[in-house]
Amino acid sequence: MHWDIVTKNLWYLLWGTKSTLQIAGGVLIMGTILGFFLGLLRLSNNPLIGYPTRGVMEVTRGTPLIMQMFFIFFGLPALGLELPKYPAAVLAMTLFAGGNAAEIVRGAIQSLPKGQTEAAKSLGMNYSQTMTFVILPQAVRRMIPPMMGLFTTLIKDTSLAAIIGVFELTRATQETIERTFASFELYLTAAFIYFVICYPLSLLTQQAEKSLHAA
Amino acid sequence: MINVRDVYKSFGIVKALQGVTLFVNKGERVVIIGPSGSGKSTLLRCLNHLETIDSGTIIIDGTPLNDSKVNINKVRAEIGIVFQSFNLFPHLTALRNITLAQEKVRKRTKEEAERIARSLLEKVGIPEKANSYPAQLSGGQQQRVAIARALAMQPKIMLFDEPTSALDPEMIGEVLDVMKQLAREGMTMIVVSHEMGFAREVADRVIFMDEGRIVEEGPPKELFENPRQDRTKAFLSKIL
Amino acid sequence: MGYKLNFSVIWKNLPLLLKGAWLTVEVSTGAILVAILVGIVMGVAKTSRHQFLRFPAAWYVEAFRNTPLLIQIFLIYFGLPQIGLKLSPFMSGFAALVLYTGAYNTEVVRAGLEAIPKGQIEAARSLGFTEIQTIRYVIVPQAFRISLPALSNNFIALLKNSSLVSVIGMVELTFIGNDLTAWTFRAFEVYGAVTVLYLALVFSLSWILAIIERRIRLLI
Ligand SMILES: Nc1ncnc2c1ncn2[C@@H]1O[C@H](COP(=O)(O)OP(=O)(O)OP(=O)(O)O)[C@@H](O)[C@H]1O
Ligand SMILES: [Mg+2]
Repeated sequence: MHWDIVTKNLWYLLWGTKSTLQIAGGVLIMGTILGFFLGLLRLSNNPLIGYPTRGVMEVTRGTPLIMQMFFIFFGLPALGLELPKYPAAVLAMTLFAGGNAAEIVRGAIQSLPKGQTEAAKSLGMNYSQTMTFVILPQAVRRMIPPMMGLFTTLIKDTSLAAIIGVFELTRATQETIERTFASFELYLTAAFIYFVICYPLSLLTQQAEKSLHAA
Repeated sequence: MINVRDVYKSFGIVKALQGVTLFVNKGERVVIIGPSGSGKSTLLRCLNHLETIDSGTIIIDGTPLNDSKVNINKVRAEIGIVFQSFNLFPHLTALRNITLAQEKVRKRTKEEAERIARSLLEKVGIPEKANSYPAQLSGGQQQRVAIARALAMQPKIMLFDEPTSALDPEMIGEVLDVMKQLAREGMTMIVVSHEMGFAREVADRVIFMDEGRIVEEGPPKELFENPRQDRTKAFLSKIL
Repeated sequence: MGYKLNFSVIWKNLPLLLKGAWLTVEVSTGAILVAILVGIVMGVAKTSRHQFLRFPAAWYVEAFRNTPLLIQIFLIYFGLPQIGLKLSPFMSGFAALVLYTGAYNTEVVRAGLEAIPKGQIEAARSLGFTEIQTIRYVIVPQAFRISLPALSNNFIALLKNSSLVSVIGMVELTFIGNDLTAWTFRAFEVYGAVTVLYLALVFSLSWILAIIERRIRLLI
């Protein structure tokens, strides 16, 4: 075992970790915004809006993220849309996050009792008033735990961007291994770093779920 | 039939039973009353060995419960218990709730178990609900299925732990009627209940429990009208 | 750019792509079955009264759920040989999929077991059921029904995750897609077709799982 290799290269791994967190954080924000749009469109009564939205969600949620990355990075240039690896990875992950966030938004809204909408309507509120003042404030609370879970997923899934060459924790680990051959020690260290980030997040998510059920 | 002598039971620091002694004869109907936390449920659960006692003896129909040689499942099959919260198996129909233990514990054939189940559903007044799942039944109907399920084992003793306190008022009567009929047929019964009308009509003896002890017992008329102990008086004045 | 879409490459290589899809089905089905077993064993351990069972099960779940599957695959395939455990690409990928999904299944089974009210067990025992009979007729059917939807989600996730094992050279749909792209330079068409195949697999699996769910509801 060569744990000294780990200590010598730790700063490089942490540099990759920073990139992982930046990508995951940026994707979470963009994906959530996209998710709200898709989620609300999905609930539209107009089938011309509802069905296509549903199609987009099914594709982003029903196919492997790595395939979406390959398609965007290697496939889209055929249509003249050539994206560098970093934006390609971020785009793929944002679509993926958007599809999943949309499902969270839809689920949270539909889990509210029908009586809420009916009560708001009976008071004479229109659709956007009902959404803004009655439904979304309640639904957003229910979205918080699964959105936190999505963030954990995104941190883990950022590792896939390494496959198309984006620099982040997994890529940093691979590069270090190419120089030092200490694959066991370094992959274990990378796993540990991911764990140190994701485990507290999982605990927080559980906490948020509990306080939601308690309320 | 039931012979409880000097039974103690604690949960950690909570002393649920503190020296309970009780004899119940065959065919006797006993109603237990008492404030919340006085140990009524714990006593019934000990009789069915759902709780193990700390000290004392419980002998059911000649069989001591805390004897390791005794097959407790055999004894349990002789004692039916009906819970406040019904505890029907939600994944089974009413009929299957009643036949399952007959087949698996009593080793009856499917046909025989079903015949018995149907006649019991008839007896509790809901033969048409045989194929309904618990979620499709009202509280009163569920409790009647639960009674039928316990009776299907042909128990010698029936225990009831507040069988009507989770029910809406209009359903209490239908469950009590089934219990009254059982009493008329001579079943040995111990009932934890605060339904005073039922106690007056059916009970041979009413027992008042408080703080894990039997404080006072006697025929319903006597206990309700002339309680001797102050604690009994105080309790009765609250519920009557 | 003078790139013209040309889907004939898909029609010509359709048998190969379908073979890849079939390999994905095989690997996923195998991994799902083993991961169910892992989930049951570890889920029961996690609800055990004994700390020496509960503790390892809890750490297993946390370790495998809070690290990326890709890192687990790399650690098993590239890392373990360094400490003397050399596994083939197939075994490495399969083990990683099973362990990763097994951790999620464990949580589902635990939640299913804990969701059964205590009164159910008491009712069964009071009717004279033995411990084994109580588990067999009362706990398992209810826990299974409670867990099935969440387990189904895990299975679908596994099907999608199986694409990752291509990175260590295990042959399945994604691997064949990469291969085909490398010789034909038709990334758009090939990855498009592979995406459609995954979608078809995911839909079929969801459909089958929904049927199983309904059947089991009727059966027990
Ligand atoms: N499983 C348990 N663990 C810890 N304490 C318990 C348990 N079961 C009962 N107790 C405690 O034992 C005491 C007696 O409880 P029991 O349920 O027998 O009372 P009860 O007379 O049936 O009350 P109620 O009218 O509310 O049903 C209470 O203080 C209760 O909190
Ligand atoms: Mg009680």
